Amino acid sequence: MVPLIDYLIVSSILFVIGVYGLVSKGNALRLFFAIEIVVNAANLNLVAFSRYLTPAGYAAEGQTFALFSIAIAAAEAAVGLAIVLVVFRLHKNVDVFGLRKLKN
Amino acid sequence: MIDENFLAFIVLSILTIGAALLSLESRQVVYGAVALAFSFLGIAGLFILLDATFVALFQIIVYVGAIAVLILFTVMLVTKEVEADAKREPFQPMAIAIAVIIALLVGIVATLSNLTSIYPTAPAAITVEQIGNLLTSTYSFPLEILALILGASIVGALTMAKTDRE
Amino acid sequence: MSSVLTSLGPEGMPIDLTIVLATIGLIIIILTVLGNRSKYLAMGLASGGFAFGIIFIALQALGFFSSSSSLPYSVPIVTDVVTTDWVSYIFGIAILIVAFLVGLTVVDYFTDESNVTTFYALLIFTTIGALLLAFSTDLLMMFVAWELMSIPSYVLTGFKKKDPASNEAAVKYFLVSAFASAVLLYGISLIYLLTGTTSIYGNSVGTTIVSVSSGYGPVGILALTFLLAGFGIKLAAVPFHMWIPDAYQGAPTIVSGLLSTATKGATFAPAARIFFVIFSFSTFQHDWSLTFAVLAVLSMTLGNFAALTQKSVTRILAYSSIGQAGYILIGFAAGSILGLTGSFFHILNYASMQVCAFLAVALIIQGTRSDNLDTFNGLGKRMTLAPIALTLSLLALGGFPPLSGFWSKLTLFLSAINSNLAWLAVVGIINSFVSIAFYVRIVKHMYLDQAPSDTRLPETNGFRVALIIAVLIIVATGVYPYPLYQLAYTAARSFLASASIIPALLRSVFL
Repeated sequence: MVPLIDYLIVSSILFVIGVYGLVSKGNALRLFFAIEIVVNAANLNLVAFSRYLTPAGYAAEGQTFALFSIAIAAAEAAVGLAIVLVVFRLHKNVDVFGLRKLKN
Repeated sequence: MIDENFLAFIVLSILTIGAALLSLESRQVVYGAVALAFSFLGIAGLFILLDATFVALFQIIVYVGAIAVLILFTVMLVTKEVEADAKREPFQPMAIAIAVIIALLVGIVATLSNLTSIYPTAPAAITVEQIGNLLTSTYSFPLEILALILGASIVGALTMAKTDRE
Repeated sequence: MSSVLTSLGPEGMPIDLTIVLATIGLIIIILTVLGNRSKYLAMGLASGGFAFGIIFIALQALGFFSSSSSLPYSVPIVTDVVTTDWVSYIFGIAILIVAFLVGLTVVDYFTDESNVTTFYALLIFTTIGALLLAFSTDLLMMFVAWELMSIPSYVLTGFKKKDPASNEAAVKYFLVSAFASAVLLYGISLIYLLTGTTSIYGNSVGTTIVSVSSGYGPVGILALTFLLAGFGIKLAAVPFHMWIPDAYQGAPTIVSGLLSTATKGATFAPAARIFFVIFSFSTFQHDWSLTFAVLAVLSMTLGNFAALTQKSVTRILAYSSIGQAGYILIGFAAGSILGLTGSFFHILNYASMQVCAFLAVALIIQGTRSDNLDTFNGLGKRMTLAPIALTLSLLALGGFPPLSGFWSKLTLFLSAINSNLAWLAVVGIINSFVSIAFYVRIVKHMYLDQAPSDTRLPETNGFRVALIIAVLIIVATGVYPYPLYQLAYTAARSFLASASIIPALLRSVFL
């Protein structure tokens, strides 16, 4: 059997990959990938904890939370990718650090 | 004493983590998007190992079926043939430093806590019925708010993506 | 849950409010097919909804719908995912006032957008999200409300689709904010590991499942770190503040006003609930007070000193909002009844002051077409209401005595001294003086410098009404602060009482 700590290790590796991507990348799409990886790490946590830690009766809470989070991720992806599309239409570029239209 | 569960876990973890890394480091964003879809699939496989079949199905339908396809479409609309990523810097010491620090932190915490001794208690899987009960009792109000979120996101995405006439 | 629908009493209030506002939002979505012809109708509906919400909450707070004298120091109802307590009254009123004021100005602000009606629909949805965030007592409910607040606000930030700056602000705000939700979700999952439930106030029937043993302590600290990071990004507390100036400068100015007050203010509510109830912060004040104190000092100092060097007025306001978040965190660091009173009181005041400043700047930018400080020269001769409103709100933000900001800052500094954090109060007072420098600089540009031209700039009616209401709130609270102070005090006292009555789930973690 797989102990809980193994799932926690996998999810924290995914989390670290996500943070690394967010700090190092400039492309808006890559940044979005990084965010999705972090969300998946959290979902893995929720499902794993609901399997391992809770006795019958209340165990479904973690899985239900994961369902909600997946649905919300879809909504967020729709809006976020639409924004990326608009930015590309105007700037012909999706590099977040390449925009820099602001500042004084 | 390697049983098939553990073997499947190892394979799926390597698939998930490797695909996640590839999605960030691939040469072209399109390959990255495909790798990300495989990472989502790996997570779904881990869900099945955790006896969460319903969540796994949901993950495949929504994440792989909807989000990954949406990402692929956007990537194809957005990127030009000549990849802007070509001039990427291969190593960002800052980013790697931050990642290593977080990894160390999590590692220390994991070793300090007594999580290593926790194994699954009962073999009984959570049924869809239990999830349904929760959704219609305790979580009925959040479920309705979820409908509002989806509605708002449709309106928002349409507002952003549609081109104005005149 | 469903039996509550028929009740007008406090227990059904969050659901009643949601139903009314969501219905109006859906009607407005249908109205969007008419395009801009329906924008005044949408404005009427939205303003009516917000006004109804303000009156409804006020009546509830006065005990109008309940037979008994309603919840003076009561413990929230814990069996549900949402609750009605004094904390939610405070945040609810602040959020709804901001939404009402912003809603009045939308039609006048977006003169050349093709479909302003959509803005109202999204404004209503983001307001519902912020409201429910303040009402929620369940981590799942909190996360759902958080997303309902965030997702429409990404679109609002990028609502000027032909403006490159607005686009850039939208994509930056989206990426940072989505990352914040992801980190928050990770933190929530760790809390679920520790407690086995998603309810913030614990499972009152006593089925707390995992025997939380001391071995989980490190995981608790990790969860707290992730939650701090997730909330910190939304609150723009200092190590997580980098995105704020770009986002606020690029976004439509009235949306910056909404984001810096309603969104930010609403985020303090779940932060308070999680840190004080789940982590029973008031019990372990010595362990965590330093964390909040450091965040407060960093936010105040960096926000105020960076504002000194800026040339753009919206950027100055953005940095000032970082500094103001620092003041509010002083109350969290103090962790006492007085400290939380100060925090709640300052959140109420900050909402009206900051939104007033942003709306005035939005009106001015409409005339001058630039947010550079030099274009504000001599504005006092070219406009009447906007410079006065901006001056008053800036002085209030700086903490000048007869205005509202002074009283809440005073409460915060006193609470710091009271909790043996005198150094924190000193830093706060020094920062207040620094902030007065750049607030007064804007005022000086408006009234003492020579105007480039004498042409009058237009002032539209929607902005006039909103600014007058905001100024009245600022001045009235400044002259007679007692009722709002009393409200904040009641909220803080009942909140801390509820936090200590219910056995904190993680108490054993830190022992």
